[in-house]
Amino acid sequence: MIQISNEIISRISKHGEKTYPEECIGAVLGFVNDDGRKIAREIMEIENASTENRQRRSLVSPDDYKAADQVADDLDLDIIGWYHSHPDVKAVPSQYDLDNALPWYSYVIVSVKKQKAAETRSWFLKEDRSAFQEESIKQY
Amino acid sequence: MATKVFIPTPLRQYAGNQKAVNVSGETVGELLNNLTTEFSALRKHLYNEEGQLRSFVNIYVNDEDFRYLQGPATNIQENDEISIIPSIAGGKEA
Repeated sequence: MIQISNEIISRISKHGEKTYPEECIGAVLGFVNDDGRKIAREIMEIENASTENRQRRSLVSPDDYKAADQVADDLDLDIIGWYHSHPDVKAVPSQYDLDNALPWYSYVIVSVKKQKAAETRSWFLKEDRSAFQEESIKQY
Repeated sequence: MATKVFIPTPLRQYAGNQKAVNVSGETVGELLNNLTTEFSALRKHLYNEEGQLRSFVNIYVNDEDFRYLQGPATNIQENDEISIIPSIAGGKEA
């Protein structure tokens, strides 16, 4: 489970609407509490570095990764996951998402349909890399 | 010669929950081989089924991507630091 405030969900949605019909991407900063639950505290919008079709690809460059990691460090937080948008399709990970996923991170996907954010769902990679598993989002 | 290798947060669970580990190797290739021998669970996240580094895995020697050096053949100097830096990629079905 990942706990994300309504305010952060709203900011992720707005980011997805702003970049529509292109995908948006950003870092989710937070921490893991004693019972293993991830708590999101901040997000960091990142410019989509993909040189492919940005309507279906999003990319964080290594330099932007390092910058996000530094911001997390400065806030005494960790990068606990990443968000990106899926313009005009469901908030379900694709095979491309799976091929590029790292363990442990939460992958928050917001579906943006006709420039309006719809569902937001979160996923994490199974240990054997075979698939994503959905995790519940506790909004507060 | 042991070199400090920085492990990104999601992979630390496979490296004894350490932020950095000391690994020996004269070249980056040798060092990565030793790293994934010592921490074998790291291998499937760093390499694909064909034994190639996954596309989202970037290896930096100090501040330089090793692909712009000599790749796995890059010699490691004393006081060099190695970082595993992921690229984060996503996208909907084509």
